[in-house]
Order: sequence, then structure tokens, then C-alpha cells
Amino acid sequence: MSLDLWLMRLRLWLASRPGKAHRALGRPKKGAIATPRVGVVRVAAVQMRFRFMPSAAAFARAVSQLVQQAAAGGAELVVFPEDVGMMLFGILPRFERIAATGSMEEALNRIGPDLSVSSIVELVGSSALRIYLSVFSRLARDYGLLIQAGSMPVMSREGRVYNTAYLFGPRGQLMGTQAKCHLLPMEAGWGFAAGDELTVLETPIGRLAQPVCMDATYFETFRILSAQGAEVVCLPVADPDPSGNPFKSLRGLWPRVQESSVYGIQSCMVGGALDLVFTGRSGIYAPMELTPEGDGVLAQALSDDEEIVLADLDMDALRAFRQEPLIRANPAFIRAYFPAIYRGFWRGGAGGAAG
Amino acid sequence: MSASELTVVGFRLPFRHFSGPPELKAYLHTQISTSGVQPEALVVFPGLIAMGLLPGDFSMLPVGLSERLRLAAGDLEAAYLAVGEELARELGVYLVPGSVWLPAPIGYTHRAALFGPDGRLLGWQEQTHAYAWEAELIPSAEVAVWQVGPLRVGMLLGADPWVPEVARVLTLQGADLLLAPLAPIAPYSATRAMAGLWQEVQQNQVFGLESGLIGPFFDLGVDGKLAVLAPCELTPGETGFFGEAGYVISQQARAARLEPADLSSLRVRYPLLRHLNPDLYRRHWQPRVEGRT
Repeated sequence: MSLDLWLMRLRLWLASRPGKAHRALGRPKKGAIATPRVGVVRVAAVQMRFRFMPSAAAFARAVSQLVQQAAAGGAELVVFPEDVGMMLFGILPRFERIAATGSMEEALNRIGPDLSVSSIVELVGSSALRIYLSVFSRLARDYGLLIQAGSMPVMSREGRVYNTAYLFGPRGQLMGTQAKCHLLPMEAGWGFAAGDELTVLETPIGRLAQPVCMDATYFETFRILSAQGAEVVCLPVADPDPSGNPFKSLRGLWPRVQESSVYGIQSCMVGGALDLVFTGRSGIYAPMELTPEGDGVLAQALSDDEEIVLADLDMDALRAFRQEPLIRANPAFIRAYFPAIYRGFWRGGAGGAAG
Repeated sequence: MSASELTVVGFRLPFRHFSGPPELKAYLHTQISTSGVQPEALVVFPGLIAMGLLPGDFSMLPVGLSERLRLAAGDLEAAYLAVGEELARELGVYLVPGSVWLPAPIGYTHRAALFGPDGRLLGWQEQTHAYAWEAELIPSAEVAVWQVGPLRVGMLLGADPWVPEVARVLTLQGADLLLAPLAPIAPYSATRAMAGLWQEVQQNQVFGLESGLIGPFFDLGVDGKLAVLAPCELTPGETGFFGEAGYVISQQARAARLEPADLSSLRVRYPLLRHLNPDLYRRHWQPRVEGRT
């Protein structure tokens, strides 16, 4: 490692000391919390505008404001969008100027030759992660909430970059992580790796899972989570589709909730940076039979800007609904085809007939 | 029509009774003729339309559905096959003449046949997943794919469009087009429809055609819909629908030309299936298949 890079890492590490972020957080401002009835959980989907954060304090202030709003609305679980942690790339010296360039590629070229997004994660990742973890842990503890902290790219000990989701408990404890298991083609191009494990976490409000964005494009994710007992699936999203097409937005969480009989909370990143534009509306979904309008929607964002979406999840109703499925399973069909049907589609293989 | 595309035609039709196979054949013939269908097109009629060959008091028999079928269906299978074969040959079209319930040694099955333009039976598809209220239905554990002109075709019956494993298996077996001849019990909302075949078309990057039966169906009401579907990226306004956005409830027929090259191009530009994660799925399904969970 060159001396320059070593010095930059040192500066970043010093800038990521928890005290800096914590001083910016101040004391929690708890609102008048309307307690839902027994068996019902109020949840919040945070729709957040992407911007690179120049410091730990700026990040802490932005995030805490949103947590405070959700807590004031009575939320017991708050879900943030995908790539929240990527905003902390802004702590790189002169990053604001670099980010003003047109594309991701140009920005990387200005930082250094032959750099990829994975290289930036390697450079800034550990410092950014330190800030990210300390801010969300502190907020979860201060407000006594479950916080699904969206996601951030994290480099493993083996040097692989995973887009990783984090869940914090009401004492500030890290309850679990989840690597994104299905990558966007763009992320694969950045050198990210896909996770190969899905985890369901026991929490005070029920069994939670936290797959990430593109994972909801594949029904397999939700079948596996549902079989493991997931009841509430938090889905941090940063959809780089500039069209904002409402039909395309129906291809993610909403159908998965219908297929696998879970509650789904989708928190979308909006705005953008470099040549990326994030679109999508945050929403809280349920099986159609459990929604007042029969449309599978409990609540949805009204705007394309920052917003907190709140809804109550009736856990007893969900558990009763799952006792009597509308469609009977066919174990013989599963035995006949799964998992052998995926042969030929192994990652790195030919991609099969459809590739 | 060139060999590089396939015209598909779907229908939304009311259930009615027929005095016998000739009347059913004449009725379907009229529908095809008045829709301007050309030879070599693929025509799909709504699910269970051929059940109109059963007597009107079929539902009054005081026994279970499979026993009623054994008592009243007579040679329904032979009549269904004869109508399909003759119609396909006379008009030179690929044809799915709806679907039928047929008695089985225990219970009953729900099946649809696909005929080639020479009248040859290309194969049967049975419903693989039963609704909770279909207590006597014997689901199949097998799905098939057939070559129809330039596309490979699979079928989804009954509840199957709402079971994503079925469409995934068909796609991974090479299907480019999924057919759903349906007779969904009312109320069948647009929302529920969007959670069915439309989703399978999107998550598998294939074409889709849904034909629906409507009106009173013995002692039930059915409320089918009609749509020709494709991945959003291949349709006007990126809606996933050929024609106006949304399922059709106002007309009897809809046709569209499907071009396999469009699908191939999309699958290269946005390779969804290449990012399947088989290692993850294997870890989940293998123990279940081996009976360890």
C-alpha cells in the first residue's frame, strides 16, 4: 500500500470515531407514541433522498431526523433503504468535487487509475462501516426500536464485497446481517459478490428477514424465508431505473408477499448521485386478503421525496391466514424438479437456454 | 406470417351448454373465423369451455364432483379430442380448445390439450396445484414444453399461475410462452390477476397469454380475463400488456404477434436468469427432497 493511501485510511479512520457522530445525535426526542392494540405492530418504511455525506456528524443528523419522525409516529420497527451506508463514501477527502463529475466511471478515474467501486469499498469501507454501525446502534438504543438499517457494501476478510443489510435491536445490539443474494447486473459489473445464505431472525415483534432489493425479483428468496418462518420481510431498495414505471415497480416485493404470505416493508432510496437515479415508492404490503381494499397494500408513499410510511401489521391475523393456505402444496412436484431444475444455471455457467 | 414470429389469439367467452360436439366445434369455429385468425397461429380458448358438453343438471347430482364426472361425463375426453383435432386441422392452427375435468380412478384431473395445425395431438398438460376447495382434484407432478412455430410453449391450469415454481420449471425447461386457459371463480379482481400470470411473465422473461371463461358455470360464477403479456420492456408504455394496459374485460378476442428475437435481445440486455443463485436454492431444497426436514 502506498504511503498516500495509508495516510488517507488513517485520516478516514480518525474521522469515523464514534464520538463525532454521537455528539451530533444529541438526546432522543420521543413523541407521543400511539400504542397499537395487542398482536399488532406499527412499522415504518423510510423513503430517503440519496446524498453523499461529508462527515459522520452529517450522516448521524440525517438519519436521526428520520428515526425521530418514525418514532413519533409510533413505529416499533423502522426500515431504511438500500445503500444508506454508501452515502458515507462522502467522507473521502474532496469527494464532493469528484461526485460532481458525470458518471461513476469518470468519478473513479478522478480518484485513481484502474479503480472500481470495490476498490473504493476497500479504501473507505471500514471507516464508513464504523460510523454506520455506531449511528444506527445508538439510535436503536436511544429510541428503543428495531431498526433495519438498509444496507451498505462491506468487504469480507476474503476481500469480497457484499451488499449487506443490518438489523439492530432495541438495546442497540446487532441482531443479524444479510448479504444480498441476487445482484443487479450493474453490481456484478462493480465486482460485488452474491451471498448464498438467507437468515430469519427472532425479534420481539415476530420473525424478521432482510433480503436486499433485487432479492425480491426472485420468488425463491421468499419461498426459502417463508419456509424458515419469516413473518415480516424488510426490503431495502435502491432501484436505479430512471423511468419510475409503476408497472415495473409491481415486479418486486408486492407479488412476493402474495406468493409467500408474509408482510413486506419496502423502503426506497430516491434522488441520485453521479449518473445513478433512484426511483420507487416505499410501501407496506400484506396478502390481499389482509388488506382493507383487497389490493395487498397497507400503505404507500405519496411522493417521490423523503417520507415516512406507517402501517399496522396484525400478526395474529397473518398467523391465522397462514394456517389455511388458498393453494395446496404439491410435494411430488417439488421432489420431481427441485433443486435439479437449476442445473445448467450455476453461477458462472453457460446461463442456460434463457441466458 | 414469417417463421420468425408467432401470432397468438386468446378469447374471453361466456360459458354455455352445447347439444353435442358438433355444436361446440361450430361455436369455436365461428369465434376463430370472425377473429381473422390466419393459419399457423396459436389459438387458446378459455379453461373449461368444453364442459358445456355436460348436461345442464350436472351440478344437481347429489354426489361429489369426481363421482358426478364418472356418472355424467360419458365420453367427454373423446369428444374434446375430436373437436380439437378437427378444428385445428380444418383451420391449420395450433389450438388449445380450453380444458376439461376428467374422472380419474380416484378423484378427477384437470387437463388441456395442445393440437398442431395438422390436427395432431402434441400433448396434454394437467393442473399441478389444487386450490384448497378442489378437494378431489388429483394434481400432476409433471409439466411439459412443446415447440409451436418459433416458440416453445408451456401451460398453466387452475391455480398454477399463482404458484411461481411451475412457471420457473417451464422456463428453465426452455419455455418462451406460457398459456393460461382459465375459468377463475368470481370475484377474480384485476389485482389478483396481476399477481398471477403477469408476474410469471415478468420474473421469467417470457411471453404469456391468458384466456378466461365468464358467466354462470353450473352452480358457480366464473370471471375470467384476457391478456397477451410480455416483459414490460417489450410492450408499449412498458406495461407488460400488448394493447391497452390492464386485463381485458370488454372484448372477446385479442391477438398479438410475438417475436422470439425480442425476448432473446432482452435476456442478453438484462440477464435476470443468469443471476439465479442455485447454490442457495440447493441448500434449501435438497434436504426437503431427501426428506430431512
